[in-house]
Amino acid sequence: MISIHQRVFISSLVTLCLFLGLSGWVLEGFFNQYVEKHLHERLENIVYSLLASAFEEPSSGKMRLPELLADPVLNQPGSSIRAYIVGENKKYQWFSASTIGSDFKIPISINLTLGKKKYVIIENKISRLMFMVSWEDYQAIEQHYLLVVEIKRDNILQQIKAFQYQLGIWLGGSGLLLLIGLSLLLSWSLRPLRQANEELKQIQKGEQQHLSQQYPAELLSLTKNINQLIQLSISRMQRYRNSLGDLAHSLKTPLAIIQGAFDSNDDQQLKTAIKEQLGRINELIQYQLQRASIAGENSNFSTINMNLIIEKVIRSLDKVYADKNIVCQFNMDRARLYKADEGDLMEVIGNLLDNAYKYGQKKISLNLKILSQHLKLIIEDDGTGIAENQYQQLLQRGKRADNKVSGHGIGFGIVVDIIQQYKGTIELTKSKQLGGLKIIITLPLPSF
Amino acid sequence: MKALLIEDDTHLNQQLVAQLKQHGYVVETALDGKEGLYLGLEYPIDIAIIDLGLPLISGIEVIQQLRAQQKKFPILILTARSRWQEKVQGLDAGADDYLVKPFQIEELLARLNALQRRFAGWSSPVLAFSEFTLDTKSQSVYKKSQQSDQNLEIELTAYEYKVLEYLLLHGGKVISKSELTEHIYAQDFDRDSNVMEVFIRRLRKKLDPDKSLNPIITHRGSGYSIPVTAK
Repeated sequence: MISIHQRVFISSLVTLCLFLGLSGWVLEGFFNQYVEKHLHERLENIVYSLLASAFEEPSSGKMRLPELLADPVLNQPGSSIRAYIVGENKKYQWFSASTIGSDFKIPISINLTLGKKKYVIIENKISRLMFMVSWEDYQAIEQHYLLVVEIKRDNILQQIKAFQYQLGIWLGGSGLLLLIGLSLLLSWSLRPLRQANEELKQIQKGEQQHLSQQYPAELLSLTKNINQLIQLSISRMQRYRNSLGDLAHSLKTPLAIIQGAFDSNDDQQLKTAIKEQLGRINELIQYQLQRASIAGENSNFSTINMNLIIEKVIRSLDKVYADKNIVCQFNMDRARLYKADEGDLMEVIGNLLDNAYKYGQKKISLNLKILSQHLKLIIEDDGTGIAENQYQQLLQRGKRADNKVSGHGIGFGIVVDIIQQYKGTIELTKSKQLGGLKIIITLPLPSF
Repeated sequence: MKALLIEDDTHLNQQLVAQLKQHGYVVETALDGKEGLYLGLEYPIDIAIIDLGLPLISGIEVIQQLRAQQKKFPILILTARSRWQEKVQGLDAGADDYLVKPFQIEELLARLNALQRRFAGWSSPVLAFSEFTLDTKSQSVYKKSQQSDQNLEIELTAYEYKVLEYLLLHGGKVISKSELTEHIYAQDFDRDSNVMEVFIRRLRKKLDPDKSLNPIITHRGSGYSIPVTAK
């Protein structure tokens, strides 16, 4: 997995290269254009100065040029600028002094319309400007002359190279500086991540409990979630510890009873004591184990299809209580997905329905109503029900699994615990329809 | 009745096998899911007790495989975890009843009885046929007396009761002597088909001393049956 550092680095490197490359290319293009234009203009100027230096040949009036010109650049042999004029059907030829001792070649067969200029670059070594002019001699005949001015390109090429070099250095240099700057910026930007890493290490060591609140907006939801997870495992561990503590505490009494019976040396007493206390001990262990395994709020919930779970439980209980031939009617007004722990939900429905099947005679009804902010689960049976004054006791069961209320066992206590954890309510009443017990469970619906 | 017990705890396994045998079951047992599944598929089992936490193949998978292979005998699951999620999972997979560990042996036997009886189609624990009633809960047999219209108990030995119960639970079907032996008489005894004839003879003598009722019918060359349909 490519690190964020690498990502940012690679992307800025690519961007910089593209940008600087493009800039460099454009700048070089402009420079070249400018330099070429300048060269061309220079050649034109020389052409015109040549014309300005022309004079009439005293006898014929034809165009003639002096040996040496005003512009010293054409007078120096071997200079980079050469001029040549040919005219009168090749009868007249004039070479600038600079052509002496140079590799000047007379241009061959040039067709140029009168008054037109032609600019060519020969093998990138020579830039040549040609101009076809006419000159009226004393006999009023228009003589045609071709003016050719050449310049060696090595100067301009050198200039271009020098520019490229300079450009390269400056662009490259600034690119490098930018990269360095970027790395520093990156380091600074990613500091919160490093901080989070450090804090997590501290939490692992146990020197810190939670991530601090000082995080940029993008990380805030992440750190909040991490803190929630941490809190969850802390409270779960706490719950386990409490359960173990409760269990150890509650086991002391039955163990003491067995110990006492053992010490009494009365076999019958011992037998009775073991039989009774075994049941009690089993119940206690089961209850605490179940309590400890409640996932509760804030765990990783899945979205559950409630009617699928209810139908599964009904099918199971139909099997277990097949002898009783009980009919369980299940109604729900509409399907709704609920966010909870599937195990917890099954625990609630399993325990309540199990009681209904156990104490019911022929009919049970289960209603699931979806309201705007809550869902209501109503379970009614046609059994004998429970006396009203025992409702409170049954609902208080969540604390200690000591008192038995009309044989309802520990199942109801677990249900109470779970409903409490999900911040719901339980209401017990008499069922008007079926005559037995009616249990109404209300659970808040979290906003999706 | 031939019972299959799949339980990986050796101590508990031995205990249960002993207790089941004591109560007249012929027991096939395994300590892991793979062996247990094999036994369930190979032998003619009447009822199975399967622990959910098994090595090699899980209890749930064993149940699913048995059902997939059309094995229809009742299955009771044993589970150490009393969470409903586990119970429902086991029942949904194909089991018929569950028992949470630790349990009392009487509870187990009562549930096994109920399952057998239900599987045979009897809706009540008391099976009635001709002038007799057999109470599977108390494992006793009664005959309606002609004189007083009361039910008099008939004393049967454990094996005699087992034979009668088996024939009754498979009411209407012809059961061969070898089938009776396989399902009732434990494997470590010498398999002697005469034994069954002796049991049947004794049963007839106790149930029907004056030979008026003929509750058990002999099918020459095939076996025995009690002509009754389950209610």
